[in-house]
Amino acid sequence: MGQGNYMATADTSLNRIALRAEFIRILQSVLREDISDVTLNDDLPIRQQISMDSMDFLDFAIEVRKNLRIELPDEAIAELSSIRDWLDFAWSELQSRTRDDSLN
Amino acid sequence: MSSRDRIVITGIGLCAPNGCSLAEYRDALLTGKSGVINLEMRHLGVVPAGVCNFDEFKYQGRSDRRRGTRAGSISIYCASEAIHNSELRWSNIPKNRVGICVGITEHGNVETEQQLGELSQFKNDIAIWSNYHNTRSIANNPAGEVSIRLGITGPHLTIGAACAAGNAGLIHGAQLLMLGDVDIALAGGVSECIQSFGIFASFHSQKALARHADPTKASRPFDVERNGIVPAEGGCIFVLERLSEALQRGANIYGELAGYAMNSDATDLVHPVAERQTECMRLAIARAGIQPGDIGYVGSHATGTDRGDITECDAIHGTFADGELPAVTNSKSLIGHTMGAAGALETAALLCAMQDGLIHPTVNLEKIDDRCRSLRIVAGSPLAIGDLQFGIVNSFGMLGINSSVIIARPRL
Repeated sequence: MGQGNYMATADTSLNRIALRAEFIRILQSVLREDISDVTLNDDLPIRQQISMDSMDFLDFAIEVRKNLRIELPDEAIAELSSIRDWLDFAWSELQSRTRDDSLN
Repeated sequence: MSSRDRIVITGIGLCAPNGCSLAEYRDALLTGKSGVINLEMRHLGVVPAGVCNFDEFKYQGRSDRRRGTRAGSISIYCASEAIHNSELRWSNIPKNRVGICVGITEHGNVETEQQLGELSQFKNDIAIWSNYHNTRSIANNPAGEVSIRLGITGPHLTIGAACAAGNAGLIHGAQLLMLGDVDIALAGGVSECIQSFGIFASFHSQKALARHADPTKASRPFDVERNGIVPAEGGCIFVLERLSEALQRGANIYGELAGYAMNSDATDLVHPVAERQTECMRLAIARAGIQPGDIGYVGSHATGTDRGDITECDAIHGTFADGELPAVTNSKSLIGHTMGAAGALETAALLCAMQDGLIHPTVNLEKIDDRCRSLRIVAGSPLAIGDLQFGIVNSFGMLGINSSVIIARPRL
């Protein structure tokens, strides 16, 4: 699923649900584990809920960059901890890029 | 030598394109089952390759597999199978007295090619470069992955020795035991080469990549129609112990590493030199304290290239011509060239022959090259040899690296 899928409709809430599902898919691909039965609390740090070391977390960030094709500065990564942090950041990046694209 | 200085093989773990257990591999060698298939290779199209089909997750979690490499995964599988096969009481073994020596032809190509391919898709944005690239491509990766997975805190070494690496791993493991640095060595070699486009492309550029409409007939050492190497993945790791300690624990002893030698051609990047290969074999035989006539089995390197095969034929003839020629065979005709694993998988076949009294045949030898006729090559069907006392395994590689190991039937 590419970034366009999250911006195609005006229904923001639905798009965020799809984006969250994409984050979970990326997490699973990084961990190579089925985490579908893990109830992730969006407001708690991911690493408190799933076994990930620092290398896994960096790997996750790189996969987010590749899969969503968003800019993800190193200083931003340090601030991103929970699913909601990641969603907010990615959502903002994707929306600003959509605005830029429409201006062009 | 005292029993403390004698090194024996007490466990075998392997995965080969035609079998991923010792029993499967042995059965495949004796029945002529090939492990070479057609593989789609980017830019090159379909190429014959030896591909292993083993359960990567038998001894490794999915997350660890993602972090690691195919070579690491093969190493973990083979090392774990070898320990199981040795019947060591692993939980009681002091892990700081265990060493790991994994021979490998090359390492890092797979990861680098994959990363560069991805980078080009992302307009060379370095931000997508994997944080695991260093730990995957670093030279000690295969042995290091075994260390981490099995909790081994003794030395771990990945021995880079081109296609002599399987023998080199075995030799270095034995040397660690002889020096008293370890009490158990996990030693052998592995290959992940079929994941690398560059390996195939380079053999193609060297006019040394085998092609055949039927992939199972592509690897044909000593045959006039041979046209090159069939790259293959695989691995074989042995449990090595000093004879005294193996006897003390009542281990099943497959064979003894009675002698070994390594030397260098010091002439050409790729063209082998028969005289140096003969010297290597003779030195290994002398170190074993035996005569060439005592050798009953030659596990040949047998790459299936014109020059490689002829040079080795000359070298074998030069080593043994004064007496009765030993039987010569190889496993490459059935599995392709497993590079860093080749010598170790050939040694596994020799150890099996010491157990079952049969020499497996080389296949695809439909019309022998006239220049190889002086050798007693086992072809067509297995040769019954009874109680084989000594065998030699050759493994040679680029940059002129030669190795030979002498395996003796267990002598207590």
